[in-house]
Amino acid sequence: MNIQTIPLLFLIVSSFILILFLGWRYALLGLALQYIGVFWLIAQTLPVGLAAVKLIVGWMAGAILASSQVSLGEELPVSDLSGRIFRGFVMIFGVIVAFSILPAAETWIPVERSLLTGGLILLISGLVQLGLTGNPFRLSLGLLTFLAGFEMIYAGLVSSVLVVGLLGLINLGIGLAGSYFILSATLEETG
Amino acid sequence: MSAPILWIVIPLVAGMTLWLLRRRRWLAGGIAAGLSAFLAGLAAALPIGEVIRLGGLQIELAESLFILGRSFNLTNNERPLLVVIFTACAVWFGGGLILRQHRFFAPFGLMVVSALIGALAVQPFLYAALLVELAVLLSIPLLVPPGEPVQSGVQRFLIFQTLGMPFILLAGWVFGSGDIAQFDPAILPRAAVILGLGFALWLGVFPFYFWVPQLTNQTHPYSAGFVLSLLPVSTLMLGLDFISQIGWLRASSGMFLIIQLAGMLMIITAGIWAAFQDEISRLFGYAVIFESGYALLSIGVNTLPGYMIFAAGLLPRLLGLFVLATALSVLKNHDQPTDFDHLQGIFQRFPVAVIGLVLALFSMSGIPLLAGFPVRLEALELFASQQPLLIGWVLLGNLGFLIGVVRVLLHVVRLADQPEQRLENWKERGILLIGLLFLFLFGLMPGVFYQSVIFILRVAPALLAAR
Repeated sequence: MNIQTIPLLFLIVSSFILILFLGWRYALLGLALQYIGVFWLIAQTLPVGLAAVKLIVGWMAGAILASSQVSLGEELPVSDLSGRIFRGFVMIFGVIVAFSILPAAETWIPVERSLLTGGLILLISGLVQLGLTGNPFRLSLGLLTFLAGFEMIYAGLVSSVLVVGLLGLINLGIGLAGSYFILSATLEETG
Repeated sequence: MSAPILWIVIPLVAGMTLWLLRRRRWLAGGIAAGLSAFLAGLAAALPIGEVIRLGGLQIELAESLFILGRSFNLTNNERPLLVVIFTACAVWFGGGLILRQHRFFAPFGLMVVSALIGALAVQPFLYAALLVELAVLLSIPLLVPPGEPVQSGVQRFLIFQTLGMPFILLAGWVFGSGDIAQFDPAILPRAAVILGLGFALWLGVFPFYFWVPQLTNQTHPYSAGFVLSLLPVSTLMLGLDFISQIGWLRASSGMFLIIQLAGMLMIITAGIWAAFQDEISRLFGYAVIFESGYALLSIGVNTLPGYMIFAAGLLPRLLGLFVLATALSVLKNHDQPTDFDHLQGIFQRFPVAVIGLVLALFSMSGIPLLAGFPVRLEALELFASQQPLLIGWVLLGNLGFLIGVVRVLLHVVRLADQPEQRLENWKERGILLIGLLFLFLFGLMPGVFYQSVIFILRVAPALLAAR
């Protein structure tokens, strides 16, 4: 087994955790694993410091979302077994699609295979999450996952500090926007 | 001092400062309106890159600001656009005071404008996508007032705008990475497709636009109007900048054909949906789509007259959306529902708002004497001469939209059985009447206004050489 496979496994496992389990604790765990995988793969092309920015920003965004959900004091909607089986199958198909479009994507985008694979898995996982929820917390996780996938691919193409900084700002912004979505109704009256 | 500090950094810092003053809505709104008017005045009066003498004082406004090795450039070419954007902001912030907008409106509004101007100024242009995304994120507190739950329209707005960003960045990487002649020729059309998808998601091109009527229906019309006025206009200007900077795109007839088809589909579908619409706030969303369709169709013609019609169309678009959003806001602030079942007697309760609403919609439909008419007429003549096959479809869309507006008119003039009290206050009437005055002035004296706004095309200088 190639060492590059380990972060890819992290990404696949984290995607399944994020899709199968709807509680905020599992989401935080999934997101933490996901960004470790992202960091691991991106550190091959970007300096470790820049790759670490993505790890820290991703964790921060996840922490902001989870703490907002906890502050709200409402439990996230739970899913029954049939829902989990359905979502699990959707994600299995998503992973299959990611691997099957990989050769075509390689001709388009000249980045390392492991980065592209991980990026495609997260892009598809993010889209699946976005497509299966209307909940602000889950939606923000979907956006973060989608962006993490894109960032992995883009890190292989562009290695600019400004891009890393702005993408970090956008990740944090999505975390804050998601937090605002979750808590807006509980804020003080309009005025 | 440099121009980007004046028109990007100062609004950003002002927005952040106003956030601290957000509880004092009048003060925050007044400062935002005053600052926007001041920056619009400076953009009109102050040449960039030249030495200005004020008494014994010499000022030179530099064009560039360097941050982390990248530059933000604002030149004299961008000044007309700055005048338009900051004038529009001054009007929206001023109106926001009268229409009692929530406490995040002015602070975040200024930050959104700063990010959008930053997107237009940043070089290399691929960074623009990141700044537009920041503008989208900053507009979330604008659209969801504190104390109200988030609705699906805003969520979809965020999703679609965020999905658009990676496409633009990827396309920007292909087109922005040096000599594109060294690329495999097959990659350029693919990059153009990616770029087109990105802009389609950003602009809400068919079939990605269903969030627009949802957004206008579920959020306060004034906030939605502000975002839907500035964001698509900035995105369109960014698109023109892309086309202007990339010779391959300018020479690609296929791309312009796709832009035309997208514009036509937007006009037809928005027109047809508008004809069957029973909720005026959703019609507002279709009006935005309809306007964007005309803008894309004008750009798609890829001739100088087409680009000039696009530029001239910005003023009536901004004015029409402002009057429409203001009228709907007056109704919303007085808890007046805007679906057809609850409109009986509305004209007696809100006469000026109803007149504003109907005339703004008529202006967008291109009815004579109103602001939209001269540009619509020119646009239709141009489409008829350049693309005779398209004109029938465009007229069909126009007819659909007009039917929707006539249906609104027929419902709002139904009088109540009992005499009703007028509920608008004099400030609301005042702002609507000023808007209506300009709707007529633009329509009656188009040359006076449109000749100046056409200069915004200097943002994309290569397009001025189009035939």
